[in-house]
Amino acid sequence: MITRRDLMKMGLLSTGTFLTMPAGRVYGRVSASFDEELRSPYLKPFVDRLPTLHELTDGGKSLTRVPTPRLEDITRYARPYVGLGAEGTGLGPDATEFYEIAVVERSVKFHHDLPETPVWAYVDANNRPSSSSNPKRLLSFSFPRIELGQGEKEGMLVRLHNELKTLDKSPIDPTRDFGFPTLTMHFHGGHQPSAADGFPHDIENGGGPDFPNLPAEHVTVHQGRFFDYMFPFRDVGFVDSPETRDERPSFYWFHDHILDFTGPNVYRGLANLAPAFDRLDSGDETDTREDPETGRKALGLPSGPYDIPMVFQDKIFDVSGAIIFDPFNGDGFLGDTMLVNGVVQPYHVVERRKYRLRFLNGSNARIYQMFLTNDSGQSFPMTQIATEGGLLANSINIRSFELYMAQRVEVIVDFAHSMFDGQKYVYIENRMRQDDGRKPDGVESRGTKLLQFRLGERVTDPSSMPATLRPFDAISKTELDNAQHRTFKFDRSGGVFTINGEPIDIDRADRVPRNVGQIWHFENSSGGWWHPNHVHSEFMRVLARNGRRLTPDHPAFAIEGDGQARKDTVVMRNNESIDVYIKFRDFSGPFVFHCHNMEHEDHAMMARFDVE
Amino acid sequence: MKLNRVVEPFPNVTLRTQDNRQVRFYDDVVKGKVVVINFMFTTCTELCPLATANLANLQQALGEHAGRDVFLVSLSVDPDHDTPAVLRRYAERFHAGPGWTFLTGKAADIELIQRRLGLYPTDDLPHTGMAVYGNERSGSWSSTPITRNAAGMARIVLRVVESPPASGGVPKSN
Repeated sequence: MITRRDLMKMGLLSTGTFLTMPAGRVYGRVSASFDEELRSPYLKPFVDRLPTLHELTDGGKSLTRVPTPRLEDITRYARPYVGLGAEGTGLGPDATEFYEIAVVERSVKFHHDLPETPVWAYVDANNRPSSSSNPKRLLSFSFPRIELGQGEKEGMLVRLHNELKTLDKSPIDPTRDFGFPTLTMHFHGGHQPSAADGFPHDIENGGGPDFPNLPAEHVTVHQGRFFDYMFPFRDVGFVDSPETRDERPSFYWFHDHILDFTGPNVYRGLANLAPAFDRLDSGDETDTREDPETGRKALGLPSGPYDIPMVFQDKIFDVSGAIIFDPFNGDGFLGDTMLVNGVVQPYHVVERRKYRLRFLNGSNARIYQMFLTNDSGQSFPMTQIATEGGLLANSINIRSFELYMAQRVEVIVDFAHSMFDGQKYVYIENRMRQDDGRKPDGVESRGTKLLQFRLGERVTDPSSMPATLRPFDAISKTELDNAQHRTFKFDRSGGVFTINGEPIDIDRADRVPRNVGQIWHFENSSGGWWHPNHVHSEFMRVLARNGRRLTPDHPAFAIEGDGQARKDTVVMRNNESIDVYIKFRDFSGPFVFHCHNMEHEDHAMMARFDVE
Repeated sequence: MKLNRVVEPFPNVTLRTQDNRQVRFYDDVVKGKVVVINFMFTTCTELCPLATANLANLQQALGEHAGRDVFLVSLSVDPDHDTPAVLRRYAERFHAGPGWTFLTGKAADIELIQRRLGLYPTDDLPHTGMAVYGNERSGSWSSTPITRNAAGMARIVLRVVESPPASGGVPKSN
C-alpha cells in the first residue's frame, strides 16, 4: 500500500503537497478496505476548463446508405418501432438516424497536473478522438439533439461496438484493472424496447411479440462484437393507447449496466450525456413557435452554449494518474477527488445572463447537496425547472438541492441578477458530508467546490424563464382506484441486499400487465443503507412518502409530487417508504428496477419485471 | 517509477487445507484462477449449512468447469475449532468435489482476508451471506449472494472465465 511515508521516500510528497486546500476539501474516508491514509494527490482546483463536446457524427449514414448486409441486420432489429418504411408510419428509411459508438480503452487527461489515465470510454466510432487530440478528455462527444414527437424523425439506431481488449499482463492489480469487458448499454431516461434497454444479463426468453427476431439471450455485447440499440424517441403510448404529448424529454444519460459490474464499468468511464428536447422545450431560446397541436409556445429556455449539462463524479487517483477502485466494497465506493464532465474541479467562463445548468449525479455512491456559493461562503438562490423526469409543471425557487445517484436536477441561474454584482467567482459547492457509501452524514456549512464560474460581461439575453413550464395532470382518482398494488421491500439480511427477501434472480420475473396502472409501494427496511430506486421504461409519479400523501402542502411536493414532477429515481432514506404510480405502455418484455447505489446494484439489489 | 499496490487484496498468508496441506492464500489459492470465496464455520447452524449446501449445488451446476475453470474456496472464521480434520469431515458431509478448498489458519490472518475482500461482518453475524468471485488473471471481481439459484449463479460466475462464448450481439460484418 502507498502510505504518506512511501510517497515522501519516493520524492512525490513534499510537506504540504497533500494537504487539501479548503477549495478542494473532500470529506471522509475513501473506502473501507483501503488504507486510511490513502488519498489522491492534491490537484489544484479550477485549472482546467469545463470541456465542450462535439456532436456525434452521422457520417452521412442515414439508413439507406448503410451497407446492405448491415441494413438487413438493422431492419430486422428495428421493426416494428420505427421508420424504415414500416407499415403505418408513413415514413421512409431516412427517418431513422444511425450512429456508431465504440467502447475502447484510451488514455485521457483528468487534470492538467495529472499524468494520462487509462479509461474505458464511449467514443464516436466515425470520428474517433485522435491520439493527438489535445486536451484528451473522457467525454469526447455528445449526441446530436434528441427530439421527441417531431413527426418527421423516427428515433435513432445506435450501434455499440465493444472494442475492449483482453488484458495481457501479469500480475493484475484488481484495484486498477477492474471492471468486466462484456457490456450492455442503458439509455437512462429513455423509453425504449426491452431489447434496447440495456438489460443487465443474457436471458433465455428470446422472441416474443416485441422483438420477434431478436435472440434476447444475446443482449450483452462481448468483446469484438456489436449490438444495435433501437431508440424510438417517441411520446409514450404510441403503440395502442392515445399517444401522450410532452412526456418524455429529459436530461438523458447512458451508461454500462452489466450485471454485478456496473459500478466498476461506470467508474472506469462508461457514462455519457444526452439531453433530449421537444417542441415545448425546443433547445432554442429565440424560438417562439406555437405547437399547432397544443397551442403552446416554445418556452425559450437558455440554450446552446447557455445550456450546460454536467455529470458529477468522484474518483481516486494515484500518482501515476491511474484511477483506483475497490471491487470489494459492497457499501458504496467513494472517491476523494471531484470531477465535472470528466475533469477535476473545472472552471467555466460565463456571461452575465441566464443559464440552464443540468446536474447529473454519475457517482457510484456519493450523495450531493448542491449549493451555488461564493468565496465567502454566501449561497445564492436558484430556480429549479426539472428533475430526471423532465420539466416541472411549475418552477420553484430553491436554496440548494439533494442529488442522489442517477438523479438529475436542472436549474436556471441568472448571472445578470443584482445579487451577483461585484461577484467574480461563483461556485457549485457540495455541502453533503459522507464518510462511507451507505448513506450521507448530513449537510455542513462549508463543503467542496466542484466547479468555478468565472463571471464575465453583461450581455443581452433573449432567453426566458417562465414560471409555468410543463403543466400536467396528476393521475386521476379513477386511475388510482383501478390500479394494481404491489409491495417491494428493500432489505438487508445476513449481509445480503434483498428485495422482498431475495437477491436478483435474473431468470425470475414479476409479471406486470401492459397498460394497467400500478401502484408500487417501495419500503426501505435496511436501516442504515439508503437506496435511490430506479425503475426502467416509464417515469414514476410519487404519490406518498412514509404513508403521507404528497399533496401540495407536503414539503416534498414541489420536487417530486405528482402533478408537479415526474421521476425515474426516487430515494428511500432510513426506513422510508414511497408509493408511486407507474404504467408500462408500449413495450413488453423484461425490464428491471434497482437501487442506483451502484455497489448495492452490483450486490444483487435489483428485481426483474416482465411487462406482458 | 515503481508503484506499490494500494492494498494487497489477497494477503499471501499461510493457511491449511482440509487435507492438512500448507498453502499460501495468494500464491496457491487465488493466483491465476477463477475463484468463488466465502467465509463460514462448521458449528454455524444458521446461514452456513444453507450456504455450503448451495455451494455444493453451484459446484454441480458448474459441471465440467468445477475444479478446472472455477475453484471454490471456503475459509473458516472459527479456525481454532475448525482444524483441517474438522473441515475435512465437513467437506465430506457436503460432498465437496475436487477444486473446493476449505481453509483454516490463524484467526488474525483470516480476519485480514475477510476485511480485504469486503466480507467482514457488518451486521450481527460473524460472516456474511455473500461470496466474492472473480478472475485473478483479468481483474474482474464482484460478489454474489451465496444462496441464490445455483444454476443462475453458475452462469454469472462463468462469465468471468476467459474466452467468453462466441455468442452475443451480431457477428461483425466487416
